[in-house]
Amino acid sequence: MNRNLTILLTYTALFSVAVPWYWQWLGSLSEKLVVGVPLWVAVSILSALGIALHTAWVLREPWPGEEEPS
Amino acid sequence: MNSELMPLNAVEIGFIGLYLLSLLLVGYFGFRAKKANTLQDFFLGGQRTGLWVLLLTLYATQYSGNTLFGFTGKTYRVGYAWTVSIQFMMSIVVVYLLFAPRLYALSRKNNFVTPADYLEYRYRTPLLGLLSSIVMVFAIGNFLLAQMMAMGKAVEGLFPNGEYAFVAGVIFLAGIIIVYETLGGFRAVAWTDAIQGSILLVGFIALLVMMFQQFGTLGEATRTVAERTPEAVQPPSGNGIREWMSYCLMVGIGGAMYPQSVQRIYSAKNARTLRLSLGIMVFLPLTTTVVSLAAGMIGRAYIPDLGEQSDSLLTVLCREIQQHSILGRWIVVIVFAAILAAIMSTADSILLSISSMLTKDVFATWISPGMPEDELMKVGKRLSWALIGLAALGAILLRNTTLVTLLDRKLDLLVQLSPAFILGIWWSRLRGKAVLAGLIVGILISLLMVGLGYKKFLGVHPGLFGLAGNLLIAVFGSLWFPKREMPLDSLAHDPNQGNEQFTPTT
Repeated sequence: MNRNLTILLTYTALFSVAVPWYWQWLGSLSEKLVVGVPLWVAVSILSALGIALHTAWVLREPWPGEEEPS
Repeated sequence: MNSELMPLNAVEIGFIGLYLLSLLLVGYFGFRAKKANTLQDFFLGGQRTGLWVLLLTLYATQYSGNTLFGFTGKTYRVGYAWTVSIQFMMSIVVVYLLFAPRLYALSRKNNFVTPADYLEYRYRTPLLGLLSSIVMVFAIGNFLLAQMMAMGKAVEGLFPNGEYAFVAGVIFLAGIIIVYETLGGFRAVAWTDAIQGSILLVGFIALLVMMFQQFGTLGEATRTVAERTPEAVQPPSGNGIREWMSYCLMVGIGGAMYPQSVQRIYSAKNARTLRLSLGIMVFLPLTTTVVSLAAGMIGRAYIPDLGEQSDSLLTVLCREIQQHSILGRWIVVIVFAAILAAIMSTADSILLSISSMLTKDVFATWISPGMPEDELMKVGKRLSWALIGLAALGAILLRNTTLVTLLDRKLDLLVQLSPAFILGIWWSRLRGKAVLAGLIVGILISLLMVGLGYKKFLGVHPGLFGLAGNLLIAVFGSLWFPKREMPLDSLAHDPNQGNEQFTPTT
């Protein structure tokens, strides 16, 4: 698969989990405490960590023209 | 509830004084490091900014006093729904991925100094550059005024009985900023930002540790809040979800359009430095913004009666920590230094950025074309003094008033620049006149909605409605123009550099 498409789809998946739109259908599960915060907050923060890791992974590839004189 | 700090003793004030003096010393080193008497050297540090300085200056510039006071206060008011702040701060870096690689390459090739330099290169539409600069100066100018007021309030909090503490604080801290900035230009600003960014990080971590020690765990706070106000711990729905997504888009796109941040892209020593800085910066909301979130929830649980004073929560928390131990007192000194650092690092970057835009995009382009660079440098420094003088005066005169609504609307305006920067760097057919028309319409829609009293409509910020209109006009306007050879088709394929020069990376 095209690299740009893979990156875009991964961001879409991560943001889809990070935005807490689906918890309204999961009842009181969302309010269960995990490491001091409600489950939905923990999932949202973990997804944010996923977004950060994915961004760092994208940025590990040199940019075109990076070999320019510094 | 007392929202003022306990007075600091002479040793503690001496520590803050030493920190402020160190900023002047850094300004002097910046002056010594000057390589040439050019605008690029003064406003971009000769494009030699290394990894850690770039990272910390990006960090200190993005996180203002608002992150400390505003974000804790907002969490106090809305509860865990403000978890969105972690994601919208990360979104800024994600948006950078869309245009920073190409913009950086172009800036090196064409020696850009201001954001409008890119627009002029790309579109050859002088009015677009002028209007964009005006939008940016206006948007961040208000922000500069807010930082000046925050400086006065910070010092006033330190000397609550001092009649002239606010005025003296504004003048003293503004004086320090203008001296080190005049001496060392971008180098001084970036190097002091590096010190300020480090203090900010340490201050945040210290605050988190002391909060848990003083008040108890986050779990206990969450349970207390859940019993008293269950809606503060429940996930948002309906309008709340639209607002969440709107925040990610607005802050993500608008935050990436801050001119001082665009200029930091230009200033990087090389592409690798910029790439690595962004790769580390994307993790920083997990430290700073998460601490603001935790502080807000702890405040809501244990200090529930703040009411209208919720933006003073951080000061109230600090006072509680300060009262209980010597270590607590010193942690508060570091947090106070971090607060000053957050405010001053944002103010100095804005000041330098506005000064560069007024000097290069307005003075050198429209008022006195052809003026030698060393003369322009003098103009730029005088403009900086005039600007900071005006901002300090404004802060003193407006000290007892709530800032105008437009202060909060800076992102609604900045987001309108994104078609010119992001779409234009990918789509060579995008035309300057269409972008200009889109920008004007986008601004008008946003301001009209704000004027009609819509802070958000169906949970969506006015700026995004403006951006939709803006994009439609820019895209269809460009398609409507007859297709012709773009003067800047080198943007996509530079025959001298090979086609891979601007191959998309993301």
